[in-house]
Amino acid sequence: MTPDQRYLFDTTGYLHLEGILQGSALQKAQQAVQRYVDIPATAAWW
Amino acid sequence: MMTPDQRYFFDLTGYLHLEGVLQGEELQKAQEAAQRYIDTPPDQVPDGFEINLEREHFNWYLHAFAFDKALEALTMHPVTWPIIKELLDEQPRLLGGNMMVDFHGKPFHPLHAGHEKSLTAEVPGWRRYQVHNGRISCNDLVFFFYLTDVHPGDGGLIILPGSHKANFPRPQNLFYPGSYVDGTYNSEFNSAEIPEGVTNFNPKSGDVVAISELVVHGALTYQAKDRDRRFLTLRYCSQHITPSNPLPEGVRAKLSPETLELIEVAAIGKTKSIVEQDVVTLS
Repeated sequence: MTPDQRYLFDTTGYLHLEGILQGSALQKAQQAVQRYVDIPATAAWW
Repeated sequence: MMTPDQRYFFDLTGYLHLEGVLQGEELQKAQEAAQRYIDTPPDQVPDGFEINLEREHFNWYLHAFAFDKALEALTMHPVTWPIIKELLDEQPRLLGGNMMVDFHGKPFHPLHAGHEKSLTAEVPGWRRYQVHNGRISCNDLVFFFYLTDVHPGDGGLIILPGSHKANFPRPQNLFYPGSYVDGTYNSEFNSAEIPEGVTNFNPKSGDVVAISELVVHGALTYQAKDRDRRFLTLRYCSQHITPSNPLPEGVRAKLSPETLELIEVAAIGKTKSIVEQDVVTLS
């Protein structure tokens, strides 16, 4: 961790990390989530 | 005693915002007393008092709490007194009380806190914040009694909630890059921004903001052009902690016996008679 991250997490208990996913990595994650959302509930794997 | 809400919130954040502590005639008398001090020419202040118009971040009216009984009465105000007593383990001592006046053109006051140097020093220093058996012990407290309103966007007091319990040194330029240069305040820096993690206050006249001196605090560049931001700061510590700057005799001479007892250094474990009173009336 950076000194900034260490101080912030110790003080607040959280970190806001901006722009971790970008470009195709973000797009692929969004598409995967959407595919899951689009599955009809009756057809869920469980 | 503090309320459970106050106790939880102070432990979590390091501050309390108490609304409407002063109202009506009580507020008016405090405001009038403050105005009389402000209107006093610096070379005509009573013996022991001092007006410092050269402070970088605000005009400073030293020992304002003793300037008038309306201000002296705030040192043990019925709303703040139970909080002072509880946080200081029933062993309070008033270190002093000055009035600050902030106005358009005064620069940003960079973030700082009372115990930051001790986080990197070999010796931990004297300031403490700890909780034991459900009781908070905080031996350095500041109460800000607001005598004018602070509107959204005005600037003024900022803090980092929770930082009174920080275990790591704060990177100096973490929230306000450029506010420090080579480890010291950058007097050219200005900002009215409130980044994520920073809390800014908009108290009304008569409100009180109480903070642990250990919580990181500072002040945004003051924006309003038509009014100033004026407040009395009352600072309390544990009664066995001795003063670095004893109050001048001229200031002490104006104080009531109850306030003299409050500023008195006393042994650990001794119970001051004022502490046994829920409401202290100045004689």
